[in-house]
Amino acid sequence: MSSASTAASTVKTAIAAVSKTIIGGRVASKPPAERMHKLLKTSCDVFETFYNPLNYRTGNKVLRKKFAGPTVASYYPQKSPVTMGTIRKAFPGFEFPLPENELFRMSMAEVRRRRGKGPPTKKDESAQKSKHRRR
Amino acid sequence: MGKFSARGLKFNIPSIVDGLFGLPTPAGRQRTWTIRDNYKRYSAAQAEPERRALKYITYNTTLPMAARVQAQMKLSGMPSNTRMTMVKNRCVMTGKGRSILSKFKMCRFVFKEMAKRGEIPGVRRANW
Repeated sequence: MSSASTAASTVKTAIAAVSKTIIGGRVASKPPAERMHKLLKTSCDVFETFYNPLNYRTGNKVLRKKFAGPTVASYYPQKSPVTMGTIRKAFPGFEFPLPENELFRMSMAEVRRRRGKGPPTKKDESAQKSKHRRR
Repeated sequence: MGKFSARGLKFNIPSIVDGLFGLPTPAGRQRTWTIRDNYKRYSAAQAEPERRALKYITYNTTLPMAARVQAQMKLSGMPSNTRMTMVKNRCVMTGKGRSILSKFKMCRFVFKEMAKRGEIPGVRRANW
């Protein structure tokens, strides 16, 4: 017990000694608050920061934050304005190779048409008009 | 975008501002929620400086109380879509809203499939 208490006291004294001394071995005393405030003010003037010794809530932390808008708005990748159609139109003479499954799709469409499951034929517009007239 | 001509060829590139709300359509699979979220993102980004200024006024204790209250009223009166908290990370591929790996902007399933095929650089199946 006694040895532990002596060890604690030696640590305490050592901490006190370290806090009192600065590099060079001189004993340092804390400067008065007034001087510290002056130092803070000059530092604020030099680095153009807000001098706030009484710690008022100025809301500066809101302004300090980075804007998230650009990154938030560009989350989804944008659709390319250039499509295969525009490229086809730009080179009218060129024969583009068919897509991978185009031949299969065409053959299936042909089969469906033969079974009578193809797209319906467009109605004759002139006939429709005459119908309306009759009414 | 407009009309372009190069090497004697003329071609027309349609405008990308063709989606809903007068905004560019997000690429990939179109879902109602994706388009809605895109709109929220744009409006939040647009209103961010104004919201920031109003917030600064309300938080600033050195300003007169009347101005602070007024700013707070204006802030609460703004449309809810201008808030950053309304924005939700959704899957870029499928529009799914749950289990998103925000680093890759994808839901877990799409991420797994793409990683399996080796389409995400730097990602591979762990093996030890």
